[in-house]
Amino acid sequence: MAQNKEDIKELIRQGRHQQGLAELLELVRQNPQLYNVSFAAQMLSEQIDTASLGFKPVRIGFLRSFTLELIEPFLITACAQMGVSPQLYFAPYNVIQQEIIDSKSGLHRFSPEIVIVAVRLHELCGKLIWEFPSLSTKDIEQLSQKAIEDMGQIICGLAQQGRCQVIVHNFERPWHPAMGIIESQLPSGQRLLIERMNGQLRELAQNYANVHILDYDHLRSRIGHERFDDLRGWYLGRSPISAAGLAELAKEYRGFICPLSSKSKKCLVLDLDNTLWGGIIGEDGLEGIKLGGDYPGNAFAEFQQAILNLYHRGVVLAVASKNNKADALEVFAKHPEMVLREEHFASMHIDWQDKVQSIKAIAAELNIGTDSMVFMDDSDFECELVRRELLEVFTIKLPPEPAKYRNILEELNCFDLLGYSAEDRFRGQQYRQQAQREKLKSESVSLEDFYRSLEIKLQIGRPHPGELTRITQMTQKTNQFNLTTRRYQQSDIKKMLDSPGTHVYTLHYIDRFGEAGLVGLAIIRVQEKDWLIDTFLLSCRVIGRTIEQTLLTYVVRQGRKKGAQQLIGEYIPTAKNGLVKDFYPQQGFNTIKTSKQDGLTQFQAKLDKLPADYADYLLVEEY
Amino acid sequence: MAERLEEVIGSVLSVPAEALSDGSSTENTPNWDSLRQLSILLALESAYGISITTDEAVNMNSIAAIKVVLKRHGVEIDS
Repeated sequence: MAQNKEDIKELIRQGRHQQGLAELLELVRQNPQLYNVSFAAQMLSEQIDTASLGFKPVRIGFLRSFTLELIEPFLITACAQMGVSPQLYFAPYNVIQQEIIDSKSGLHRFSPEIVIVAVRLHELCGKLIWEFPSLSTKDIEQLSQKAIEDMGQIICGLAQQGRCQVIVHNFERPWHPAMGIIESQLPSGQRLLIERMNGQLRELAQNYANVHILDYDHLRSRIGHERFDDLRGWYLGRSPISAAGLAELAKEYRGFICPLSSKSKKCLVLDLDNTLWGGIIGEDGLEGIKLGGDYPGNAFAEFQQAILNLYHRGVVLAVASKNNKADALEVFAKHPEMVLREEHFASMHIDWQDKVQSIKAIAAELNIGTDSMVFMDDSDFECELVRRELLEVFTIKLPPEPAKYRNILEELNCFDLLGYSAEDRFRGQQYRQQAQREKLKSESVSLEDFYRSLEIKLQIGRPHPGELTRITQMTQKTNQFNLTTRRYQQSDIKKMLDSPGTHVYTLHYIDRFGEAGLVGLAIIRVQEKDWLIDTFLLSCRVIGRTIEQTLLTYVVRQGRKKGAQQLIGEYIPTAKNGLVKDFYPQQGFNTIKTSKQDGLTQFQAKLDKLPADYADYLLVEEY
Repeated sequence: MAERLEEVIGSVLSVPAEALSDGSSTENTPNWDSLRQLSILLALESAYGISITTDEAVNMNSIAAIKVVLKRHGVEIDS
């Protein structure tokens, strides 16, 4: 995908908003710097027709004691990832009670659906922060009581109006406690005081169903004071939060905004191979996959436990995996280290159809919108395809290191619920938005364009000298995309390479994401004018991208060049290669015979009847 | 390759890069108020990977002044 600002602007000018949005979000994901975030926010606010893309608009008013406007681009962009378009109102600096009480205030006229109260003790009751060591116990008690009373009035004033949801920051504990190292032993220390006051804030909030506390103190600690605070911003413009801090605070706000706009995620869709376990079940078998024990098995086991925890919090689990169903289910049933079992999943789509179809099917089965789903997969290819076709699904590509998986899952706040269910009028809008989404289908990119965007380059020809081992290995280990599953030794392959009656062809794959290496093999036995395809296999890493057609086309071209007239293909069924049963008929071959003994089926096609041109969305180098 | 300065500032101010020049400042450029001044500061730091001090920031009121500071930090700006 082009992530160039000019290209994005051009897409929007052409009216291709869905694609423009996809590329914009990708730009920010790859490079979340402030100037990209600003650009994204500007496009989202002014150029992109978010309403027609099914975005939920929401009006958010801010009552604040410090400069917070700088969060605007971060909040707009973060919300865009979840299909929410926020409209923001900032009350004047440190004007809080008046905005609430005066029915003609800016806040009232804006009529927010959510009000965020961002008040620091620094401004509400500065003495408790700046002058703590000089205060007497009586002073401290009076000041803190007054501060809590003020907050009580603010919260009560907003909550009783009933029309909006209220999110209140709790108080941050200062970086350096006022009394120094003795604080941990002092019952009247500053940190303990603020902790108690936060407890009181929590109690105040519990009186109202529409008031929620945002643990600002914890957020600041979690990010780290050094990263979160910006003293220059404070001294220059009373903005105490750094760019990194604003980005995190925006995500925290989004964690509240989504459930309050009925946009929280309900369902987690998972891949299987290299996601729930290390390795590929169809290739490595039950004994060979990594789960439990040492690294990486322990990382996968912990990841599964984290997923199970989400299940217990009410998240619906589903599987979308390209595999033989029996192989995959065997792991759930039999592997002793599996934490997740079949019963934890509401839907499992384990087959060879593309994942976009699987995800849509899961959504239909569970009667939920695709915009309430999160999809996790380790494959660049799958994630990019799903992002293109189903932008409303929140797609997460897992990194190469399984050690990072659990944290990535636990960081997500998109499944968080607030216990308050949104009004019915929000739900009614969902049907309308779905209809609008259907209208946009004409704009979605074709599969061919998608393949083209991958910049696939294939190198096909006779093997290089050093590849003997790899070729042998492929014949022994490839189970799924393997037409005849003939297992060879190194000496067999060597004989074939040296014999004029056999042709061995290898296929190498490179795309935008990197090199997959030697992934395809065809072995031909020459029988006068007939070319018998003894072996035809493809690594499971590249199944589903029309690479197999390309390898066959190469064989056709070579056959024609060398004067052959007919190709004979064979299929020998095994427990694992069901997916290629119809490969030859699909390529235009006729069935000649089927043997009752081992189910071997033979197919035939005349070379001049088969296509001999490569698809134009990939680059083929014959050598 | 460094991002063009006018692009970075233009993004923050919601003003086209072409409309900005060395003489653009808080006095004559739309949207360039003290609030945006802070945004520009953060954007410059993230765009060029530098750390601007508070004292430097106080005087960065025009594109010309910004260029001086960036140059001092070793950032190459094509004029």
